[in-house]
Amino acid sequence: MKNTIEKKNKEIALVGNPNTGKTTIFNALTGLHHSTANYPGVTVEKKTGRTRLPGGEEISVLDLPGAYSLLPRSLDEEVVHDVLLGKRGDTPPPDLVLVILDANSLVRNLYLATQVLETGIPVILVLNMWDMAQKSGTTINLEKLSELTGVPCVATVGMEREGIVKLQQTIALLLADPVTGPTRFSLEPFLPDRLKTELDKIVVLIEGRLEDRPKAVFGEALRLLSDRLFRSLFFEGMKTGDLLRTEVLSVRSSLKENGIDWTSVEPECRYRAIDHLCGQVVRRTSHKVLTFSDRLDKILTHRVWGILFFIGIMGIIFQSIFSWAQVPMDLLSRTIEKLGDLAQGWLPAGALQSLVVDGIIAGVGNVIVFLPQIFLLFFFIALFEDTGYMARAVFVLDKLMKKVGLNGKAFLPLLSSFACTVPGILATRTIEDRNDRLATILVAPLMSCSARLPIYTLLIAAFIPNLHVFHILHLQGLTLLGLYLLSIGAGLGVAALFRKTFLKGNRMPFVFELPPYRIPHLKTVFGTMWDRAKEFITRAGSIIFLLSIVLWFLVSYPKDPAAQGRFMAERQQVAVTLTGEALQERLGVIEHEQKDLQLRSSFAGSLGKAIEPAIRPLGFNWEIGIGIVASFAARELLISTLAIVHHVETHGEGMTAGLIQALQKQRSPITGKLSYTPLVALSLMVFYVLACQCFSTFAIVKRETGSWGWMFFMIFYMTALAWSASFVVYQGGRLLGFE
Amino acid sequence: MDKNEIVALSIVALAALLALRCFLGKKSGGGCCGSGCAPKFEKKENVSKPEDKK
Repeated sequence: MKNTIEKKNKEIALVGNPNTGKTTIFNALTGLHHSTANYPGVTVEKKTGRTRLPGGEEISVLDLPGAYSLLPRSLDEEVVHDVLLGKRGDTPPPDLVLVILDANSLVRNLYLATQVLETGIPVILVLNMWDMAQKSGTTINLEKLSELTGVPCVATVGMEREGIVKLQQTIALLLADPVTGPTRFSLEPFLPDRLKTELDKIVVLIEGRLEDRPKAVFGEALRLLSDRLFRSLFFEGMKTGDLLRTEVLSVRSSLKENGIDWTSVEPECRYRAIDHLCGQVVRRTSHKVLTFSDRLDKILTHRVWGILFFIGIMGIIFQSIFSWAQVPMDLLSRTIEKLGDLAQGWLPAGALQSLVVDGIIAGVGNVIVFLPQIFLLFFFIALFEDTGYMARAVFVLDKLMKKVGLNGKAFLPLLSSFACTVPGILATRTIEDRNDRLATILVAPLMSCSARLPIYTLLIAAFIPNLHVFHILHLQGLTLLGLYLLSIGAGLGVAALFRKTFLKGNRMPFVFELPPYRIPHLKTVFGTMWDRAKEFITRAGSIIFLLSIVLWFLVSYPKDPAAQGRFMAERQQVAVTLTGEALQERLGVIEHEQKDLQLRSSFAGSLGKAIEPAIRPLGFNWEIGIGIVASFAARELLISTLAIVHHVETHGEGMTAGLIQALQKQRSPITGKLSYTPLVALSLMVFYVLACQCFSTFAIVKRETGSWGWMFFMIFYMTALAWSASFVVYQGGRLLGFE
Repeated sequence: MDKNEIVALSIVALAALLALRCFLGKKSGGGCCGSGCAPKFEKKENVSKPEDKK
């Protein structure tokens, strides 16, 4: 049980309820920029940084996930419990704990704080959001609170960095001279005598196991009593007949016989003690009035207006993605095109020039062009998070989530998955129930991640007319909204199916706190937006860059010297027989034929043709087949593939415009019909909404479920779903007379 | 095969190796190169100077 890790520096840990501003205080102390949001559950793993105290000493700071109690119910709460009790092999117990409390909800926040006080680790109570408590007419006597608890109390406004120096001074003082005596807060006077007597039986048994933390024995004994699922590490590896387990069961039945409910006795007694404490330190100078947040919530969380507002706001976002991003996209597109021209002029004709121009610049450039749209999407999401609206969206959609059998806590992982599935799946650690968590992991990849957005917008721009609907809405924006709604609908439908069949389980109650609305801090909004968009740029600069090079090789090799010789001879022949425009035109045709033959006989061409029979019923040609295979590495590579295989030529109108024109004009050499039609584009978009084509997602599902089986199941069901839906769209469209 | 083509193919070989590393590497396995894909307890450290408004 003892932790054997040696510490180089002193270490402090930040704990607190979700959404109390722990990460903001962590950022203020360390100068780091971890993402924060005005809703609970942002931190699901521990984060570390360092801060220098006023005396010059450098210490480590650990930001732990939000928790309501030290009795762990989910994986993130387990991290908090285990770190504080020194039960993690990789993390030594901290020298000092900062318990971050929301000064507006002191009673609820003190529940965890008083449990931490019982661990015996030196504690500082940090009352954050002090300004908002004052504005709401709440006065807290800090000195009295400090006197009654026996630990220092500091008021802070994390967002404004107010009180941070005082906090650092207090940390320095306490680390130099830690409080060694018991804290003045004690739960014992509020416990029934019978419980105290029974609890002593458990205390005797665990004292030896907590030799290094004698002060934590009482609290841990209480938690062992309430640990319904036996999740505590004390029970790990124990046989049913183990003395401690038997004793705990015996104490529980003894309490039950005496009319004491062991499942609720701790919360009841603790809240009585906290009420007693708060009665002496908290004073409300104004009566409860309807705040601005309350008034706004009457509309935004209304069961009808709330949903209408949510759909409306989503509609505006998707409209703006098309209209507002156009100018910067054109600018980027032209810049990349100029870069291609420069490279063409600078490099000698040959394989290297083709690699740089047709491979790297076409492959990466065509993806990077979509950056303004990604920025806009994340700007809106960050804005809603920071204003507090996102929490209302969770509330509004919770009913729907419940209907499909998902826990309300699944909303945040699913929301994160719209940026990237990987952090979304990591965020499912906040979900307590195994089947709930598994269902959320399995449907998270159905949420349209940012890698799909460039594919949607390219195909929409190419094949959906820019018509006005009801004079104000654009058909293109509505199509994009439809794709996102399809992804949400598919996710909820599949979740409902799983929960009703093989992932049945109890529905856990979901308690979610609505934070007050606030004016967004632009620094936070832009910081969050940048953090997420950076992922897109990193991908474009790393994996997409590398794979564009590999893709170029796969479409350019093996070379056929005989065919090259034949085309060369043909060129020489037409140069003798033709002149002027006729010659140029004929040379253009020969070059096109040569590139087409090269692509067909290339490694990628062979691969595309091998899978063509499977995708032909969906309306996809073998060139799309190459893109679908490449998409397993990164979905955006579909665009790079189309740009590379269709040898996009630009004429000053920008790279994306060149690709769009190439797609619109492409004809099948066998039938002479257009290869890409609005129906094919729709079928392809539906396929990309539903298909699981991401190695990173496979890896994270394997890691988080701990099973290859669930990973393969996810790949299988998503592929089957995507194929079937595209088949219905394409073949259904043809039956209705569309081409 | 001319010099130009040798250089191009060398770049392809290097890119293929780096891509494999991205997918199979211990630190950023699975092809996920963003910060959201960081291993569970990866440490990101920084040292700040104490500053405050007050």
